[in-house]
Amino acid sequence: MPIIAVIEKEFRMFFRYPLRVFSSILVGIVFLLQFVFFGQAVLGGRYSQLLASSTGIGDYPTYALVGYVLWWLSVSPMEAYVWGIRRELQRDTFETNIAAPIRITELLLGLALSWLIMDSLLMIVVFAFGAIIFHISITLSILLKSLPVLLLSFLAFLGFGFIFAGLVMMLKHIGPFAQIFEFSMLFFSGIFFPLRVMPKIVVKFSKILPLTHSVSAIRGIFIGKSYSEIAPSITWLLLLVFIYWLIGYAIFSWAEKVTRVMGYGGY
Amino acid sequence: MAVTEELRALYGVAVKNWRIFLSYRVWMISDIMLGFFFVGQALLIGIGLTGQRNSSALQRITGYSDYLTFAVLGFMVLGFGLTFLSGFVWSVVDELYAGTLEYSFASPMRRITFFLGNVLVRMLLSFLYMAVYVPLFVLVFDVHINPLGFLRGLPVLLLGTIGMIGLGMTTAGIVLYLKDPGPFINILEMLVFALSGAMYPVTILPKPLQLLAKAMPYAPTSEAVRKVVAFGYSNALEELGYLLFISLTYVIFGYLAYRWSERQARTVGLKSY
Amino acid sequence: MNAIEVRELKKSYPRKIPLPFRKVQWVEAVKGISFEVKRGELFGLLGPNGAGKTTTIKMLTTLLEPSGGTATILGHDIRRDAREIRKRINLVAEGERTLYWRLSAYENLKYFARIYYVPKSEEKGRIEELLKLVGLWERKDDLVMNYSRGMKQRLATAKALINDPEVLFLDEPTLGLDVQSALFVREFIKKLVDEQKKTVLLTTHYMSEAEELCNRIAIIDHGEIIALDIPEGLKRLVKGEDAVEIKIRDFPAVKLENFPWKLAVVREDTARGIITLRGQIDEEELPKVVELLVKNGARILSVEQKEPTLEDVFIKLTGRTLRD
Repeated sequence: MPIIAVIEKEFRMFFRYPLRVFSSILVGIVFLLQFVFFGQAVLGGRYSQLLASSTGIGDYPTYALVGYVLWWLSVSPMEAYVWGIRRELQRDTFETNIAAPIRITELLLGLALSWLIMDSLLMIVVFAFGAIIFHISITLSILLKSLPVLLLSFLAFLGFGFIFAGLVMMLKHIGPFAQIFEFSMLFFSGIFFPLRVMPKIVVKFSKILPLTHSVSAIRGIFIGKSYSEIAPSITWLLLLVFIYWLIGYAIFSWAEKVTRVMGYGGY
Repeated sequence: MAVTEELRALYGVAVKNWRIFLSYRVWMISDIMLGFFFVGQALLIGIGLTGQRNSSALQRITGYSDYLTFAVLGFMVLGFGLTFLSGFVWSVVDELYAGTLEYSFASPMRRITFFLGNVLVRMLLSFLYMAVYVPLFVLVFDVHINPLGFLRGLPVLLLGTIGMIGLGMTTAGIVLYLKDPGPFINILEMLVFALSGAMYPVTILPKPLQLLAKAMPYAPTSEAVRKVVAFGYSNALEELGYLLFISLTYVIFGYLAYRWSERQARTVGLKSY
Repeated sequence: MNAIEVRELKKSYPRKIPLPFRKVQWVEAVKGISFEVKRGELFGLLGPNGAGKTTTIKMLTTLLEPSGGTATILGHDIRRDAREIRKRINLVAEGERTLYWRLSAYENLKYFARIYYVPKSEEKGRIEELLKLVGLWERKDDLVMNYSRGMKQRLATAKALINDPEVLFLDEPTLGLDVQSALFVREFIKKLVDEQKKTVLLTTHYMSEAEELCNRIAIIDHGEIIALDIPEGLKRLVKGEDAVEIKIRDFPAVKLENFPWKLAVVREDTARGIITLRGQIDEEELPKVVELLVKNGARILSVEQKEPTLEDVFIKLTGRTLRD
């Protein structure tokens, strides 16, 4: 399968430089610590009654860790397109790939999938690190129960990210916008604070982001909720998977048409 | 005249850096947004967890009950820190990758002029950013900044900046001769980020990390600035003395690293990519 | 059946991204060219930089949407059957960064073998054979970033053969190579056509390369084919007329625009202020040329008769040299 070749190539290039892997993990950890430590310093402890009453989870490190890891994974396909394609454009390898008979959608999906897997590996380390230093207890049943939700979330994230694939191909460089967007997601989906503090309109808007539902489902599992209790989030996710794949593909098809007129290469 | 020639060269370097910076206008917007994310995040975390604008827990450890002002001051020091570390080092490394560094170094200009020209522009930019941030923070987040206290803090920030520039130069001098500078700089950036004391007092860190934080110029600057802004100079003598010591140490380091890299360049030459 | 058939192919580029409701200016790069390439032929597109050579190759390799006209590769339409075409052709693009520098030669070829649908059973053998063919087998595990420019180009050639293509497109295959590497690549191309019966379309702005390699050559300038023939046929265009080279000093080349003869600057020695002009000037005209040059302040250093080459064909047709 050619898509495996794409994944294998990305893996080789990433893991060939252990220092880069290490620095990526460090970035992941430091970013997390910033906000959790701040929250704890303000709180003077780890338990917030207010947080518990508005979200069901009172333990701030657990709340933040789950949200943060999912946020990172949710922007991973976006990053793959924004930075992965840009890198190939800068290095002139993008056109070499396009010239091959592999479907361009397969090529791009392979790229996003490999970044998502690599980021998952990084996040497992970050999650484990966070769980250890913040003494978060995790049981095997929580992990197993999270897995299907996680996979469903991945599907949604991939579809959501696909919107950017076409845009990058056409516009070539959208790094700064993507960065702003990625950070906005921290706000819109309530990663480090409960969404309730945001204005009503933002709370409504956050419903169209897959991350919001994915986070609330998995946080639910962490406090022992059953699948039927988190059913609304799952339904939303299923719906969004469908919608984003559709929108993503439509935008991509249009952008590809424009790109074929402009030329794929060139920086 | 040697002095005027060197000044002209300095001006040339500064203008070039300024132009290059202007060519990344979109990144500037994203940079400024970053400040808002940072401070906005702090506010929302505080409100989401405590429901209040003041934290008695924070007051017990740091003397600040207004956690937002605490975070804003920390963020400013961090902003300066990143400017003189990553901004500075990356700009040199980018020139190395692009191959233009060798041309600059091949010119008769002193190498220190090249670095200083870079520092000058970054300093200007940092103040520009600050001029954008402060009024906006006050307006958007209702941060309580006492103008007098704020002005009192500026000289302390400048004192800390000297140390940050020293560290930046040390790093720039060294990374030019590393095989793969990118991840090394990333790692250093993250250390700065985590140990700057911007978002939390470093006293809540484990002991070894606390020591490391104390050994870099950022956390001492944050602490001294916060102390001076809130309690005045006379109550912050200990912090100020330590900051002075750290800044001087890094200036010496910076100078030595610069001398070393000067010699290194002659013996091994710059890497080409 | 011809391997490549091109009919009135056109390409215009938008100056900006053509978003909906945005008025965009278009620049014509290829203005309706037609030619065909027979199976097993080595066909050359010769022209100066910016003539439209790369644009043509990109359209034929299905990387760029034509603005008008048609083209078929091995009987398939380039607009409709892009994937079928891609399976049966390959290309060496211009530039040295077309492969992954952070992968080894072997890893690069393995990757491209897979995205070109090379059957798994043939993959290993094919890669080994190709790496040996281009003389990189000994260094197959080195990262490409440690290769010399010539080695990178050889690897790019190996990549272009990974799917055993019937038609091969080579965009400036020897550009920027040292003499030895260029020689290797040229010999290699010859062998591909002679021994493996591949069809090759190459672009170049080196006339000697076109003359040495190609069965037929199309001269392209400003997006139009201005001549197309076998090399001998093209040279016949200037046969009987003598090529003259005039070496002069103190003469600004811009003044040539007002001269009634087609003369082009073929060499320039700016340090000494000497330029060498070349063109088809017959015996009766020659004194007039010299006289006009002298009148315009030129100091004549030498006047020489030369064997006509393809360069003269280009000068005769356009009044410029290929490297302009």
